[in-house]
Amino acid sequence: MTAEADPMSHDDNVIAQMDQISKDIANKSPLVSEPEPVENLKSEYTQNHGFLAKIEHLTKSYSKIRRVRGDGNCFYRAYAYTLFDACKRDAALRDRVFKKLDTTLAWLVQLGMPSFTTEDFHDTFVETLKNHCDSGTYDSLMETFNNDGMSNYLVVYVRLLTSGQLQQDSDEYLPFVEGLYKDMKEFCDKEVMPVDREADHLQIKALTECLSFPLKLVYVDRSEGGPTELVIPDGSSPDVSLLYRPGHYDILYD
Amino acid sequence: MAETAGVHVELVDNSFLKLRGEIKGPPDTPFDGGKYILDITIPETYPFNPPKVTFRTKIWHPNISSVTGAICLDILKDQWAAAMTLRTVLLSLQSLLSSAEPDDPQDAVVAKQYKDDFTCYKRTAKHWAVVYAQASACQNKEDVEALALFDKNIQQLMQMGFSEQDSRVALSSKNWNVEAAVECLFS
Repeated sequence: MTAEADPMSHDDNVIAQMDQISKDIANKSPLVSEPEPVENLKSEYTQNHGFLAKIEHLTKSYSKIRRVRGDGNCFYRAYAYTLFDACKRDAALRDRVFKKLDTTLAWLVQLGMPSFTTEDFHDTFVETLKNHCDSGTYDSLMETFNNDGMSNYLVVYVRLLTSGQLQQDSDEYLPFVEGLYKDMKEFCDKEVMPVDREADHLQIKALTECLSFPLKLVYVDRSEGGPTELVIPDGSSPDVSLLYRPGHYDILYD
Repeated sequence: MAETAGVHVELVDNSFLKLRGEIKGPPDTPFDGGKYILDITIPETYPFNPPKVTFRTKIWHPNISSVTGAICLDILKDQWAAAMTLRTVLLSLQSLLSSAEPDDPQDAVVAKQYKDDFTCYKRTAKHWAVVYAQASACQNKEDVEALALFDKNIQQLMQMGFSEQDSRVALSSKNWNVEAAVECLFS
């Protein structure tokens, strides 16, 4: 006889189901796709006039969309991809970003991240970015971002940076989550660092501030009127735009 | 990994995919001084998925199955982060031994006992810790007597022909009531 205590736990079933959904998504779409015309989005919303009108608006300002896999990492992956791409083209940005990155390992360890793993993610991120800026091509960038292991390594480092910024500036960020989490560290442990956890406004603001690489978010949802545009941080002049549809981010091009 | 803070991990073979961990039972718990062996399997997708960890040493704890050693701990499930280390995992397990979460149980029987009769839970946990993990014995006289009675109860069931392990599980599940345990063993 055994204690009647051990049903195949509910959690395990949920996890197995989530894994299957992730696999289905993975089989359908690359981590980072080739750009396609924004018009293509219309076919997803033939029954939805609110959305259709907004996409019509969108096509006036943007010509292409680069889809990013909806696996919970889409914001971080899209952001890292646009950062790599922009650093290659913009020497001033590149210098600024490398200067910042050089300080981040010691900074994160000081904030309490485990040095052994953080160093690994840091070194991989810096080295990959350096390689891309020195001798990368469009094709090698696409290869890097579509290689599961490598792409996810890069995502983990931007999650660490996000987490560091939120904890460093917790006075500024904590009021937004007060009552839900006991401190910023708990928020980061639950909402930033777990693999595949989606990013929200707080994470986006923290990451853009950390790397001083701003972005424009273009919101498309069911509400009335044209798409809403939001520049993060306030008052910056970003060169990159991400499309936000509820629960998902893709990259937009003029 | 160096042995600090009472956690330790070593290779089982040379594949790096199977590891054996060890944690010391933390002070001020029934597990104090016990040595708990953990089976750790590293998935191919590590570190983007958590290691699979189970207790090889039997333990009586609301968040660990007394039957299979399966663990209910958020960081081994949806709160896993790629930047975590095995050291983080082992330290978190050690702290799980210090602070059980009976409202999010892995072993419903243990969790119920924890909530309904905490003294009985603590003594049962201590009994398991002494038997399976070589934990230090209790100091308090009442506890010593209660644990001696547990041993007698087990002997009694063994004389009826039940195995030691089955007797222990049945008695533990039934708050050491011999009649209830026998009924449970016959059902």
